[in-house]
Amino acid sequence: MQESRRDFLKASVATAAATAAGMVLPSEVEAASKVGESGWRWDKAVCRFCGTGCGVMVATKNDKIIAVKGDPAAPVNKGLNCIKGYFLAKIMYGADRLTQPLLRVGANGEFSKKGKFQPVSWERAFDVMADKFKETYTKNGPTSVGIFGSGQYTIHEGYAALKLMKAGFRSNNIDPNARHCMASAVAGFMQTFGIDEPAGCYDDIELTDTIVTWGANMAEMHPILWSRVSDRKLTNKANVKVVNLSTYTTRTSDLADIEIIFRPNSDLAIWNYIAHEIVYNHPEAIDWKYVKDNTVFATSWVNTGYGMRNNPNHPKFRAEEKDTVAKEVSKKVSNLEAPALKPFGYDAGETMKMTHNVNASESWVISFEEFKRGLAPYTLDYTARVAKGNPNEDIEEFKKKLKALADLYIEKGRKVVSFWTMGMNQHTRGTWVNSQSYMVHMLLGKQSKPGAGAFSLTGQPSACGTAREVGTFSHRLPADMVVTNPKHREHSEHIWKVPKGTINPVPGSHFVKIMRDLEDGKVKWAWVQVNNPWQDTANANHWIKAAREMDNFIVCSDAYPGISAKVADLILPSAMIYEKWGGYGNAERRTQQWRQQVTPVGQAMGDLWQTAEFAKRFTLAEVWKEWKINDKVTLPSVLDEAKEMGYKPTDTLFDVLFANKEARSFKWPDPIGKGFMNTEAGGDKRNILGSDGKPFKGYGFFIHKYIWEEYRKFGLGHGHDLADFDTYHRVRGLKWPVVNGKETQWRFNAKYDPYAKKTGREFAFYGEFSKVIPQGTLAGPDASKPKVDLSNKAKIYMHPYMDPPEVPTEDYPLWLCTGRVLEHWHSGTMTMRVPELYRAVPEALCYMHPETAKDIGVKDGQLVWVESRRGKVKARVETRGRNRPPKSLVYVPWFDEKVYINKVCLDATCPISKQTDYKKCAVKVYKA
Amino acid sequence: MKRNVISIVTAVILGSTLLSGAGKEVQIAEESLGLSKVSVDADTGLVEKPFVYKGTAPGAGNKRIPRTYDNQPPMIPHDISELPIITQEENICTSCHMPDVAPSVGAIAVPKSHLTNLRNMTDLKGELYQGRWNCTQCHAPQAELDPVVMNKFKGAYHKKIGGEYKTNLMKTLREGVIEDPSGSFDLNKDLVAD
Repeated sequence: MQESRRDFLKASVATAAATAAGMVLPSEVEAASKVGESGWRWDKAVCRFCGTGCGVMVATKNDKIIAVKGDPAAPVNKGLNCIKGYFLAKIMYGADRLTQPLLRVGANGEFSKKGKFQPVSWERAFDVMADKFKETYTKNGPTSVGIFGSGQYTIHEGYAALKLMKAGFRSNNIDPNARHCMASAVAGFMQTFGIDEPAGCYDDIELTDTIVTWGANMAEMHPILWSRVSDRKLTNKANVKVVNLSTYTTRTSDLADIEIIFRPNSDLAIWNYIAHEIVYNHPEAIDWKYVKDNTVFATSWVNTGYGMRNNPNHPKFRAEEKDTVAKEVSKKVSNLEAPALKPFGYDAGETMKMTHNVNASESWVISFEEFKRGLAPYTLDYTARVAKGNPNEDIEEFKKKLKALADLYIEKGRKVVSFWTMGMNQHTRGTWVNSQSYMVHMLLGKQSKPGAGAFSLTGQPSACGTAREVGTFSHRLPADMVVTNPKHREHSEHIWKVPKGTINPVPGSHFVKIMRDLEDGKVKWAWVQVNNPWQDTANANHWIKAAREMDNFIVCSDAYPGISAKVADLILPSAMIYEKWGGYGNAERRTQQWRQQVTPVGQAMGDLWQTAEFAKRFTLAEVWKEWKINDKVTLPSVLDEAKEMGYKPTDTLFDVLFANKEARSFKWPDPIGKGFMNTEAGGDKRNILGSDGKPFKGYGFFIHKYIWEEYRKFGLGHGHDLADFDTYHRVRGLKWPVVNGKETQWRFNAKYDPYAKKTGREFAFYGEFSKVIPQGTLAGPDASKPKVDLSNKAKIYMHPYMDPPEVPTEDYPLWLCTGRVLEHWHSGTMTMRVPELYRAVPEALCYMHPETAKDIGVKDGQLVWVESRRGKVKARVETRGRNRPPKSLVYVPWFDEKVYINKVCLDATCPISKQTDYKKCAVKVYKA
Repeated sequence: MKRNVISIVTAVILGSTLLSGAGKEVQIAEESLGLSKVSVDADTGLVEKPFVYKGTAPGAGNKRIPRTYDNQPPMIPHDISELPIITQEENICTSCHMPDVAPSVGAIAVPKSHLTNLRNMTDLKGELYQGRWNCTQCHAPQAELDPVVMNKFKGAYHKKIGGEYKTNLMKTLREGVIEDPSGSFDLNKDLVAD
């Protein structure tokens, strides 16, 4: 696709013309001016909501936000926002903002698990919180505490929490809600490329000819990107094609040229069908130079379970749950999946024993012939039988659409971008289906090129920036490093200036596992930061009991009281987005930062401050001593080394991790903050009584800048380069790697990516993870053959179609899918408090097909029960709304705490990524 | 001053939560927190009565819903449930709200900002910017409900232009926008020069 660069330059000229100084503006647009309405202060910031990462301009007056607008200088959105973005102005002003710490106390005024909440001082809050922490930590060690982190943490907050847990408490039990959101994308990237995050950028939208959405309702979930898609499509109607693949009709379908409604989980089959079409029927379409130079064929185990508990007889399960959970141990191969599993050695009706659940990610190289053999079953007939998702659709019509989809991918010279979000990530074979997208794009040589590539979109504003890049996962360290790698630990310990051997090499519990550990009494202290785990985790009835009936202590830091606050023992009031300095990283690798705009409400304080203050409660002697982690691993005491490094056993973790000599060298005030407040660094007008009971006057140094400058050391020089702190306060974000002051638009492509250029190759998939692997066949690795070095190469994976662990049956005849709506963000704690957004969608409705409603005997607006083997909720019926499911499926969004749908959902996960599949389980729906 | 802050804080809690006990300490039951005033164990927090959206069919004298701050996208005051969905081919909203039709049917015309491609700053000469085709991305109907929780936001308007019913984004879009003066991080520009 030689022409792509020319096209690109053409497109760039238009963009450049609009961004360069002295551009010609339409006559109505007034030139940029510093001075505006009297008393208003405008400043650039970033949207609080989805992973698109729109720039917003925030106006403040008298220490309050009074207006917002889309930032016309922000490359992502150029002056446009979606409805949620426009109401950012209001999210901080709900009347029930949490304004002071609340602790459950009994009649005697002391903490009591069964008590009611009572306002307490920050000092008392930290006293109790630290006491309860030490109670279990001292006795049960670092695995008995946990943090539910977030893809909505600012980068600085996530970094501080990670550092406190991993370098301070020597615990890896920190995992973000992003685990629920894009862990499969991460695993797909790591498995395929050896390095995380997309190759492409949003400019692909204006440069491509074809937009294919797979399990991504972009019209509602990434509205501003969809706006760019709409403009691209509608101004080039004949040439630009849009295809939407979904399990139900959405607003994204409404703009599409082709809509493919597929049976849940059969996206696995459809990707393979496209590859089958390429390999068997259009071999001339294979870009053999690209494939041979840059890829190998590979596979991994299939009998890997579904990420559930491996004991269906666990005493906490209800009887009804056990059949589904039993599939974690073994299952019968179904007639539907049997042809797909045949090349892997399984027949219909055969029992598949799940023996590779723990090493599900193990991969090995296979030959092209083996790869081709794995694809053999995916004829149009078989794929249509597996994948047709609308019972009312004619199968021949469905086949035509599949064929048309394959033809678009295959067409020589046609640029294609595949976008996906939760449909492919929240999937019990999420890592597989992510890898499959790269399979098709790489076979065709349509990957890492302008306008062509498989592009994983992120749900949360900093799932990339914080969760992934900072590495707030139970197995990770910053910049794609992992705790299991001794070199990575040593490098991190060096940057953190902590003794060698401090970091615990045993991965901690992932998000769902922390819940299960609470239920089992293994985790006895948990801290919720910037998310709402009790509303967002599937199979919630278990976790409610775990929180309320087990002997544990749960802290919930939040801005508004959501379900997690209601089940917590201590609630801490958090400052919100524009009440603090922060930074987010979006889905195109763009890092953006903003300044604090206003004073937090009440006694609310930022999560960074809360983490740092908590660190003051611990001396090195308490945390850096010897710890037994499990029967095999005991962490040595590092106190002697600490002494040699100049630390005293009485130093606190705050002194060492957050207020060390280097930290204090970042002075506040700083020119970059001229005219702006910084509560953490300089205190604020409230003089709140801090964790020591004295008025908090600020740390006296620029803690955000220190954290940033330390954090970016992790990525410099190996593909994750970030610019310095001040730069981000000048520009509208930069896409990493930022090398010599320049951002990178297309990674792995030597024309654009300096790291690829350095290799002397045209393309270089230079990630270092999983690059020396065995050889084998579809049946397994062959130990007699030498391992293969895949430096600079990516893997084209063969993964088969498999059924999900729970499919509709007579008792539970319908699929349930859950997700978001445009107007509400996640669990709705912010957006449900904006009157316009609340009134736009006041309730989570049960979207269903009119025939389903008729069968059940209900009309629009009437109440139904939605019940699974795990729980039930009431919801109101909607048959004509924005989501129009086939009669085999119902859709219930999860933003509404009144319709607590996660009581119904199944907590099965991808065995590799540990991401929950919220998109499919079996339910019955009946009149309430 | 400090006393005032605390008393305001307490008042908010008192005002929004159930209280128990007659002692001087505030006691807050978990059920009283949040949007659904029920226990987390309850199977539902819904009320029996379904909500309905404001207004009647378009063009039937529905009252405009005021903006709450400068340039806020106005909410839809009429019923849209009977209108066809917006597709590639059809956008029923435009049949009343495009400037050439709006006055004759008594509808509010889309403003100039909608007839401009802000991405490349092109005046589309009366044509709708196709990135705004999905009208409900910014404009939504409103249910006849009181919010569960009040919102204390107080918006402001440009004195000489703006207001609840009047706005001019084109005039104020770039107000307060400071772009990187060096332009050194404009990658597109760099590429063109390349």
